Amino acid sequence: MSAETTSLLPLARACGSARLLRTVGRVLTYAFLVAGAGLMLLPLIWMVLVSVCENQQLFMIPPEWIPREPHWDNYPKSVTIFPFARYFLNTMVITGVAMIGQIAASTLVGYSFARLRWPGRNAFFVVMLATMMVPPQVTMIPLYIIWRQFGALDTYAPLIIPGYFGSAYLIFLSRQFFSSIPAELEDAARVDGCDYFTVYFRVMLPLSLPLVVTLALFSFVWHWNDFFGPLIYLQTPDKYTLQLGLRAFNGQYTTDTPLLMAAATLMTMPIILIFLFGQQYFIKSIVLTGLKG
Amino acid sequence: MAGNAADAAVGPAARRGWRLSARRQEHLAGLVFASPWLLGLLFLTVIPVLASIYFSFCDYQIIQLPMWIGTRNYVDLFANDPLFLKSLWNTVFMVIFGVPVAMVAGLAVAMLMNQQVKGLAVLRTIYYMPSQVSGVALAMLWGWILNPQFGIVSNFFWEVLGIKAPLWLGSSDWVKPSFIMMSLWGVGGSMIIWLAGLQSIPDVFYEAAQVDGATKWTVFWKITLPLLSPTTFFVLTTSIIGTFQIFTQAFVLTNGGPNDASLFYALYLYRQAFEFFRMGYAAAMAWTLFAIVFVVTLVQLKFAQSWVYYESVKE
Repeated sequence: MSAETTSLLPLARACGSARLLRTVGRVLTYAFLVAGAGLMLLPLIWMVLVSVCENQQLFMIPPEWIPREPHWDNYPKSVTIFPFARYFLNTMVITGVAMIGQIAASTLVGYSFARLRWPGRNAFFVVMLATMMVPPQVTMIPLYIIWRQFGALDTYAPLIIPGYFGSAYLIFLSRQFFSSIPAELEDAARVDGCDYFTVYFRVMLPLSLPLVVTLALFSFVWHWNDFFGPLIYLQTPDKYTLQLGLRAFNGQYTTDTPLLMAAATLMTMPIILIFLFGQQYFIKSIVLTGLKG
Repeated sequence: MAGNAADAAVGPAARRGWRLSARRQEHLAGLVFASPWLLGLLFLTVIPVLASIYFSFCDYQIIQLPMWIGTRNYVDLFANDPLFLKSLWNTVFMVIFGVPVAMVAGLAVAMLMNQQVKGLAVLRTIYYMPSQVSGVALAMLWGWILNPQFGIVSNFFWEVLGIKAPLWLGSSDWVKPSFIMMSLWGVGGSMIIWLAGLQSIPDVFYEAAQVDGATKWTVFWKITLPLLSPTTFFVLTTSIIGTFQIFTQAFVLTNGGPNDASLFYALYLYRQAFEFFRMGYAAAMAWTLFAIVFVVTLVQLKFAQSWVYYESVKE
């Protein structure tokens, strides 16, 4: 693109109208992008604004959206009116424990697909890609019945244990990552007489920090946002995750919108922070999948 | 393994033996490393898939054992269940109208961003971020934004444009367009993929077009779009599959209403399985879904040969 711009410059100077056209184009581009960005941010800004409003203020006609004075006390109120801390802790436990397993398993399997030769490997790799196309509903019912047979309904087992078998998408990312690391390092370690496990844990894993962070981010967002799993497996309110808890809260306090929005803001905050902290990893993962034109 | 060096020093025969065992070792290590997923494939995919095929031919009310009834579930779905057909139609509506709108929006934003804009990192973050926010909080937020009386959208229509806005989620005509509007907020997810695709198109093509004096319009149709086709194919396929998974927003906001106008496929399947505990019937629904996704993907793959251009094939 840069080459195109430079080659265009003399041309644009030569005829003023082309230059004008270009400037107009730039201005329009920015106008659209900034307006769109505003629309993207508006719901989030509004969520925060409403969360510090007085309830009655919202139900006036026409409604007032700018709080006369911010009611920050909506936040302590919203976390005491339903067991927010409890749900937060539950969600953290499920997310944390599942994440560890998912990262450990996915990197191991990804390494195997990338670097170790074993019979049927390529066929299994295709099978793995194919499993990503199977709608989760197909396996959901038998899995529910299996967990029921194990007496694991209303426990965290069905939400955590599947992660320990790895996730197809994360395995795929890991495989792509490991394939991009030069083989010389491993070969050197192998010549020195290291076995496969030592090579993996001592040589490959220390090089894979960016990969581990990427997988951690994906795994965190998935488990944190998961609503369906907890919905079908958890029954006792004490065991609820934030998603389930917020829904129950929503049913009870439909009219107290500021408190609901305060809780929603608190729940969304970790995802936004995680995203801001790790967005370059999310973006790089797309390059890693090889998805380009 | 400590004996490897010693073995290797003995002679050709022993060396061959060592080689074999080294290969075996690698096989073994490979299988051990892959074992979490291989076990998962068996227990979390293969066995459940087989079980769910079987259940789909059974009357299975969870508390009793499954009872074989042949193809009755499938016949009932299409012949005797207007709600199923409605949920299928609702979802197809989202595929026909929602998917193209979201794809065009995602591509448009990505193309604007690809013009060497200043502050790209900030803009990209702002557009991409909402796509990662999901679940109940998001649904509640949109419920309030689209509130017909006090929500920001309706008030914008009334105060600024002077138009009386529809009831959005409360109207059976507008509930699906409302969901499409909500999905546009998550357009950053596909935008980021489009952007990666756009950035991988070599500048040479654009320069050549410039020399030939091609208009921007021609460049878009003759260069950008064909070279982007693998990305288009990916986004299209995943969007269609994703549309059949719409659940949380509909469950929290409308629970399928009003008048079943937002009863989407995944929501109706959930009802059959976990509210009525008709596991056999729900399994039949799941397999019908699988068949639909499979056929759609296959058709796309078939057509893909004519419109998707893979550069690597030519190299």
